[in-house]
Amino acid sequence: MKRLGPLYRLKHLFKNLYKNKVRFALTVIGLVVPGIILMASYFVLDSIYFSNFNEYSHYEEEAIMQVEVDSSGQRPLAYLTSEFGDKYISFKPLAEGSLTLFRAEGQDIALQYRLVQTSTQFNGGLIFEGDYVMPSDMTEGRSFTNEDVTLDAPVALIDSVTALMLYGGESAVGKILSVPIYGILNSGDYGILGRSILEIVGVFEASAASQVDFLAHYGSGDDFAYQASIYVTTSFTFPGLAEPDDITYVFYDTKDVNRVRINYFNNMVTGATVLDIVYFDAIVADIQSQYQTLKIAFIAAAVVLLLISSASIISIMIFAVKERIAEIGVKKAFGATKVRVMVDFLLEGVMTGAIAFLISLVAALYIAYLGFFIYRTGHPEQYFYNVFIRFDSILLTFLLIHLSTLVATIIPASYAARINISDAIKFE
Amino acid sequence: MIKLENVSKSFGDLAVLKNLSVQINGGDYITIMGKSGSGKTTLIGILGLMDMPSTGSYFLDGQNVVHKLDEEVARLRNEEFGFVFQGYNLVSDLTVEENILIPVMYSRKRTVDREYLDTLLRRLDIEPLRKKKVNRLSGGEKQRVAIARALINHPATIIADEPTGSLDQQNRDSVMQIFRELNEEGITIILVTHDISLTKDADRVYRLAMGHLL
Repeated sequence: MKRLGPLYRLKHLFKNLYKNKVRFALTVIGLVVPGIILMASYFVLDSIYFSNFNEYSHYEEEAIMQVEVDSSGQRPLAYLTSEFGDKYISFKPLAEGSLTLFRAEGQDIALQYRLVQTSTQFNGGLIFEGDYVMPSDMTEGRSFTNEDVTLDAPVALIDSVTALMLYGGESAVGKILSVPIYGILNSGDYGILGRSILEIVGVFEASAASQVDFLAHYGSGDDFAYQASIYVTTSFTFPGLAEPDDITYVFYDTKDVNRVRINYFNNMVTGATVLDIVYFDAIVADIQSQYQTLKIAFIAAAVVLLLISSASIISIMIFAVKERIAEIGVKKAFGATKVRVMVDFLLEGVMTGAIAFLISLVAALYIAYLGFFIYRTGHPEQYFYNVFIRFDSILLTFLLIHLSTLVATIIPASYAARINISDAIKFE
Repeated sequence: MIKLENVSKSFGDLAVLKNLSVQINGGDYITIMGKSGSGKTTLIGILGLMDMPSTGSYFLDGQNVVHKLDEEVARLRNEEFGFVFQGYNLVSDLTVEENILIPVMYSRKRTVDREYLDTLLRRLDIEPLRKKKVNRLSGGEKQRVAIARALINHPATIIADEPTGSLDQQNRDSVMQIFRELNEEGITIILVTHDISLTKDADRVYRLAMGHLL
């Protein structure tokens, strides 16, 4: 005695699926395309997200924040200072051109200022690049020390591309930088107030985008705009600017003792208003929401494609049922119940979904790994992304594919179950 | 024992079977004859529980099966009947053995009696073909496979609808010989044919005309 177990049944179901190879291939492709779109996009988004964030989770989140300042109508903002205790902060200027000056090759050098409070706890400090936090490694010299901060030392850090631009291949450390400070003159005109003399004590690795962008133009003789970066300690006071007495407003953050102090220049009431203090968890939430929006967009695209696929699966399977009507009749004649016939068709749908899912998974993994491999060729190692595969992305795709195949199979399966045996036998 | 009482079957306004009654005892060999369109297929559909009468009763071993659930009727079809069709109705992409095992797949136990299967294959002279796809067989071989499929679950009754209709003389004789032997072993044979020469082994010959069994 030998039992015809589930494997025997599966073998039969697979034979049924494979009966018409073209039809089977079309059905699978219809499911694989949205499956790949969904999984590959999720793998890529998750990888970027986690590479940007989770790797830096060892930083003390409470110590990171971003301050947005409305500096409309006033230039420059170099007189902004801050008191945030041991917090690491950066200013994100909203006003156009407030802190960003450009250099066209062959013209006077004008540099962007990003005022970043630093401490020795961080090598190079924190740089807020748009929406994500990125640590920078020192390529030359040293970072800021507590002494620099305490003594308002006229020292600066510059990025590696700026160093290359200013000094060619020479070491930048020890070089003196004369930075023009723009502002409103006593005459009321906008102009150079004075120059800040800074000693470069360290060079940090420029962002990958900066390196690629700069190197594409450097030495070509073209005019180009490049945003260079100089970092000074926020305790540093630029000579020739307002004295501390000019400080008129102190903004307190209600969350704790943090406050922003706005310096006024030449007693002109053009005060910058602190719009918001955004803490790290809120920055994370904001970025999460951006990723979430992208993910929802990809889900929507996949669902639309799956709906189209489901519609074609219904017609393909109804055609298959009609083609196999005699076989269904025979099976029913020899004891297959309506439920069994229906379940067999639904299982065929599930098997199709499973095969499509597996192909999608392999293809999505391939795309994600290949994509990041290609990306690596143009970027320094520290900007490599690690492919991050989340189980819930896989599960979501699995469920969506199987749900759509099941829904699409129900109609042909119930049609098959209702076939009259005597009528079906005549089809032979 | 099969007993039909006042069975009628209509398709819309068309009455195919009218108040038909018949009793077939275990071990009977009966032949049903009739012209095309006389309702032979409808009648064996009802006899084989593939279809239900519009009115009337069907008693199988004393039990009225007309209002039974689909699961119960399917089980009775699987255990009590074996079917042989004129066009063989084999599943073309399956092998000989897989076709024969279809009724086992839908049985309650789903167990194959290997010894019995081998005996059937040898008896029907299809043993060497067991792993072959059925679409590569001749008509006679196909019909022998169909008979093996009908017998695999040890049915009490074989219902054969024009089983020799597509066969040459030699294969026809061979198939009829098998039916004769099966009947001698106690299996009820219900044979539908329009060939008078095939009725010689039958205990009774019925003629279906105008919806009545004569």
